[in-house]
Amino acid sequence: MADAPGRFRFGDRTIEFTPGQSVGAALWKAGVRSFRSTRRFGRPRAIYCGIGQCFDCLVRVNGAAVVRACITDARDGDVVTPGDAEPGGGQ
Amino acid sequence: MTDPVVAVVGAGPAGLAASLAAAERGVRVVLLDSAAAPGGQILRQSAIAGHSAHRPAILRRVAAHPRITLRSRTEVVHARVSASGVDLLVRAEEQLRTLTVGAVVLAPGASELALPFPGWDLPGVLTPGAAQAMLKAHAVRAGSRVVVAGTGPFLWPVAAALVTAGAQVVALVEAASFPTVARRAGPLVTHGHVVAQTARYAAILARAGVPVLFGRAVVRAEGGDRLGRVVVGRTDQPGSAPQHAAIEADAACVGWGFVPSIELARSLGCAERSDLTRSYAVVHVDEDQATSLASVFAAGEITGVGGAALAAAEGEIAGTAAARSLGASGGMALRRARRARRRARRAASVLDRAFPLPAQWADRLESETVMCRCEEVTWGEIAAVVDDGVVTARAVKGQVRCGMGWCQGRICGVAVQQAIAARAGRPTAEVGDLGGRPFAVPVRAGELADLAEPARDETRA
Amino acid sequence: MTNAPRGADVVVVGAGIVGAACAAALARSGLHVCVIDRADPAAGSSSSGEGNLLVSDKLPGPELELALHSLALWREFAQTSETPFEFEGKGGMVVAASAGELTVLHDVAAGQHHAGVRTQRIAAAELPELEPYLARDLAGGVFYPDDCQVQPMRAVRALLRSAVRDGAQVVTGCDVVGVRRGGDRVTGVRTSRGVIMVSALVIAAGAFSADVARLAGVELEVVPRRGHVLVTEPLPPMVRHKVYEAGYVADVESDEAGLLSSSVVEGTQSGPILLGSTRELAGFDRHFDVRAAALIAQRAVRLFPFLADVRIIRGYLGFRPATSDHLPIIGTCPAAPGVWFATGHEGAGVGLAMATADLIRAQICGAASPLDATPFAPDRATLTVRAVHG
Repeated sequence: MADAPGRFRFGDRTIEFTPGQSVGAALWKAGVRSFRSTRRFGRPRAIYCGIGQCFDCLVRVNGAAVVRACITDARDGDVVTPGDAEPGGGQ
Repeated sequence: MTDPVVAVVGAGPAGLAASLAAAERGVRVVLLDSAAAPGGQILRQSAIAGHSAHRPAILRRVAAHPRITLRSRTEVVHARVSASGVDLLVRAEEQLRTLTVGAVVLAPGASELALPFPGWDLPGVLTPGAAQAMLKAHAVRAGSRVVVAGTGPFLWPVAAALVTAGAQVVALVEAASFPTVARRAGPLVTHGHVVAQTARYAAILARAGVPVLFGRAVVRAEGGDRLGRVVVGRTDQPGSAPQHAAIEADAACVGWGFVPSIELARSLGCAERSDLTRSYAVVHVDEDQATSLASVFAAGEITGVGGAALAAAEGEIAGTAAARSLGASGGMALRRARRARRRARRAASVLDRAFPLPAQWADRLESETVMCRCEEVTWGEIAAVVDDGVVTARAVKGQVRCGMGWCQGRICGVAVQQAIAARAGRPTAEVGDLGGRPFAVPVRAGELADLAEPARDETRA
Repeated sequence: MTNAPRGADVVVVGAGIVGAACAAALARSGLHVCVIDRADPAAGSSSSGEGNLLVSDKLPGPELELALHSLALWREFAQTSETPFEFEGKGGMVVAASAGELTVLHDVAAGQHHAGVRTQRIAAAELPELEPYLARDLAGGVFYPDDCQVQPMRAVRALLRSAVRDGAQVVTGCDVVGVRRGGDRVTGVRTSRGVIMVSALVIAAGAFSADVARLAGVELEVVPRRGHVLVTEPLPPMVRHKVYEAGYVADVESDEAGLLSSSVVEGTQSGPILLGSTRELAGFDRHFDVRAAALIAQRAVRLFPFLADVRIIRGYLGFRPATSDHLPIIGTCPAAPGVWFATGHEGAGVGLAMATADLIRAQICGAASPLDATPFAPDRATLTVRAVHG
């Protein structure tokens, strides 16, 4: 099992990660400080609690329903988008 | 019950110890843990493939024990005492199942206590626990110029870990004054373990030239779309003119201790009591770690925040008691564990007093300061209804929605309760907490719908 | 803590939606009103519902008339209230899954239409225009433009503020302990904060009205009919109206004690979608029932398939104050001189609160009643009420 870095997309960026890292950690390491904009005031959120309790770090992976980036494994080839609320909840 | 099973919820120090204790008494144990790997927060292991750091002995023992079944990435959504024991609604791989066991040990741990301040919702402001998790599990530093702030012993290992990982910790900002800490923490000089740890962290910080500021707190975080700097002010002279210093930083790890995660205990209906120094609810237990409900035991932070050594001692007692409740033989003397628990409780209560929450922390709140991060409820909105006579946390919640978002008040609950109490001039006990309601974790409606189909019960672990 | 006054024209027991509406109406009429509650305003069933103002679930008869009158008063209050409470005139859609159900639904709607309710038949092919995310295999529906929604805790607060502005007092943390009498008539209420002498006592204690009535010397049949609600993650607007399946009305009217469930789905202004509902007689058991939640989810997903992947972040339950003949209890009777009842609204408390308050106001002030209140009388033939004091 190679430990070569994986890559996923976030917006127009390609984010490298070490297998085992979370999407959130990989984004943070890449300097991303806005994983989504809040519903009410449109403010950026990224990581706050880091352990899946605060739900700040919501992102979408491959268009599905929002998940917490800090506890979601990064996978090679995934397309990650901001966790802003969208009609449909997912799909 | 022909095949008695104890379920242990949470694989941190308390749950690991409880699992081993019950299994050693001959009972089967199902260890349910929501994380990808056991260890909780303090024993968090690296998630990076191939990073084989030294695994603590207890993790190895639990992994090896034939009577312990570990279920990682498994959440307990709801729990209910029934005629046959305890029914747990368990979620794994986005499916729900009912698991009925003879006894349960609740050891889900705690979340970090947040005290809002202007700018705390800027990206770059996070908890010390986030910094620790990112470092330990993912080998990522919280920032390059990091401020570690708040109160309590937890700031030190986090600062030390950041330094060791190559981050520049530009300051450790402790709210308690040095005389307070020194005087009140004095009794800990007899706890060799604590002294050694403190010395080790202090040495790491000293070698790296990290300034340690006592009697100070971050009063505001500033930046455009991310943290650029923090403003630090004094906490030990509340009446005097504010003397603020700005510190450039790209990460601020701000933490004020921990809040027990009592959601499951609450939905079971376990009796609670109010923690004496902080204002949160903890699960009441007797000397055998039994809750008010037969078949339900509790250990670790949910019975009172006190750290890993206390959690492990409580876990051992709880696991043993749970096993005995299912007919396992053997005594409950457990002298070593009870002694360890006594000592650890004493240390915990000393530390609690040595690192109090700053009494007037809510004075720093501005009208636009977000109190509830999930629903973006501001302090101004909360203060307005409080001033209008809405003076319990639940009633305030009903008016302005604080605590109704994704996290269901886990992050803002204690702060909102305390801020309402300060504004209304009422004791926090009268204000009450935001109230917990099922479910303990989010569940897809489709998963619940599947439960309505017949033959969804699984009573055997 | 506010102290209880020594006397008031009227004490209203219960600061929930009905009590608050009564207080507002009575205070506006110039009476000195004191509202008491053992807990906080809206702490009971008023914070456990969905804030429904419905005409669609009522068959022609006195309750429907009450609902129509109440709706008009709610619209008026929504416009004049200083305190907003998320009043939404969104309308309700009842959908049928089969041709048989649709026929029944059409019949019910025709009767309602005749009684003054605006109804509109919606063919199966037209449903998606009104509700794009609705399942595509339904037989059809009826749209009720007059169904509305409010945020009930805010509505309670708005009503209490209105009452206080007109001179009312609100005393929380105040339990009823008993009453004082002059002859048979209640002349005062004994509370944990002292005695309040009154000319009239209004019992609006929701599911707990039977207990309060007993302390006032009256045996009244109001029983809790438990219901569960699920709350989803915050979403952008996806469910535009209240939507529910046609079995809903049958459940409301049913005397079945076991668990009944029919789907009610509605969005809220703040984002989450509310999923209901269940009905059962389970006393005051506050343990959340996963079985009820599973049924709600199952029926909600059937109506709106997208909900399958939507997270439920919270659930709660509440106790509807139910009567044996499914009509509220509004008024006084010889067994309880000096006592007025404003309770027993089952799941329609929010919707019927304003008209209830209007009836109570008319009765206590001796004014002409806005509508015939005899069907709601405490001593009607279909209800049991008797005095139990010596």
